[in-house]
Amino acid sequence: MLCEMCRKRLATNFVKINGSDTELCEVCAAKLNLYTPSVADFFDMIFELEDYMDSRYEERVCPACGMRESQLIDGYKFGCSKCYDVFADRAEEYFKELRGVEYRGRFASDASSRKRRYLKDATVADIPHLYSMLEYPAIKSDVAKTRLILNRIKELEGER
Amino acid sequence: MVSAHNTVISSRVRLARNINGLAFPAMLRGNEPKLKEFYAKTREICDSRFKNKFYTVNSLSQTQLSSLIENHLISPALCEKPFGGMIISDDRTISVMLNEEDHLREQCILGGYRLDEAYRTVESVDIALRSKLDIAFKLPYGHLTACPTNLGAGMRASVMMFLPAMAINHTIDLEIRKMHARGITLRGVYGEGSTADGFMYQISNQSAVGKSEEEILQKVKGEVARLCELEEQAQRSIKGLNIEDQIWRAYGLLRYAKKLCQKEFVDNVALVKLGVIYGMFDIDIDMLNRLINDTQKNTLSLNARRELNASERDIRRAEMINEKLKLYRI
Repeated sequence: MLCEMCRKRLATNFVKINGSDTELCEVCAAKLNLYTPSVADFFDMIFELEDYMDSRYEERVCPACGMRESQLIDGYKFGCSKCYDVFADRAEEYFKELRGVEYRGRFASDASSRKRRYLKDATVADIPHLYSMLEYPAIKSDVAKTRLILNRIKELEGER
Repeated sequence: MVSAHNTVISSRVRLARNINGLAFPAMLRGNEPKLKEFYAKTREICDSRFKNKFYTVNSLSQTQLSSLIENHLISPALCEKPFGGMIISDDRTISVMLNEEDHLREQCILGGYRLDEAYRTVESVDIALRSKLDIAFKLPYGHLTACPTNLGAGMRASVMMFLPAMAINHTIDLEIRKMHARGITLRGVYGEGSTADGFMYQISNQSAVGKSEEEILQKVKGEVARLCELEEQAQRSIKGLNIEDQIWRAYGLLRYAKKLCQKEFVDNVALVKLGVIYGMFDIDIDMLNRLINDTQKNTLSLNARRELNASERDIRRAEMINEKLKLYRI
């Protein structure tokens, strides 16, 4: 239906003028100061609100591989081994969902000996990795191991 | 203990591994210096362990890739990966996929029921690789993988089984559901949906999380033993004139048909194999199993050294089985 005033544009506003129903386009309605928000305006508002909410929430991103948290949630796949530290809470959640218990297989003991070797052989470049090792539950709960790692970090930081 | 000789076709163990400091394959850009180093080191280690050939996905034709998939040496997913590669042993028992879902998918596949041997073989390759590569590992998870369901041992143990009687009397459907609840997947090897062409099924562990390698092997072996027993019971229950009639018809078709499509071939060979188990024929079952592999679409073309069309393939398939069956006196 065309606007009853200009007869050019599509009528999108339904208003009462002098008691009778009149259909006007947005331009003519604005001229008469009778503008009422359309459905399209309502959706624009929703999108703006979403953008605003997004800007308030800073998404976590893995610095090593660039994986975003939303990518991880959507695809259910980690981007690199570092992601398991960056999104540690998500990893724990997935592990619990899979009814995971600590790995006790063929290479479990190799891993601990490798850590010991690693500590002795660690270089300045390994300092970030040593800090992340302090977050391992097995090390976190062990005061002696934590002290060993902290001492090594101190030594290496002295070499810098 | 029920013999698994005629029931188990092949045994396979694969391990999923990743490297620290290198993005998992889905996040790779291709210009990482560590990527080249990873390729070079992996090839060097494999060369020192077994005679092999190395290929990148881009260096092989679609027919060559499909033939490797048909022989269970690589996965269909690898062919979609831009930085994918594969190291395949000359005897085709060991394959190492590079940059599939994880950096490394090490696999050993052996004919017959040799799950422990397959594990020991792939484990020796894994030990060699982890001695030179910085394998991603973190407790309590174990080996870190792209998909959380592979965490821990990162291991899948699978056995390909021939279960004709259970498929014919439909007891397999109930077993598939029961096993799923116990963390075991049982599915058809060929064909789509729930029907398995040639009554061939693959049984494997669903998840490796929190389990040791030994526990996974024991679990799968326990289920294989159970299925062997159920299959034997089912074979006794369906034995009779009706099934014998079907088997003889299948034999006649394979012996004299001039054209056989893949499904018709696999289904009828399966019935003849059941006839061998019943003692109706003295035909080598391993030969029939090899023939199923060799007469698949892409493997046929590859062996003919040219692209065969559907009709040519059907003729070749019929010729191959006609010739083989001619050698056996019935």
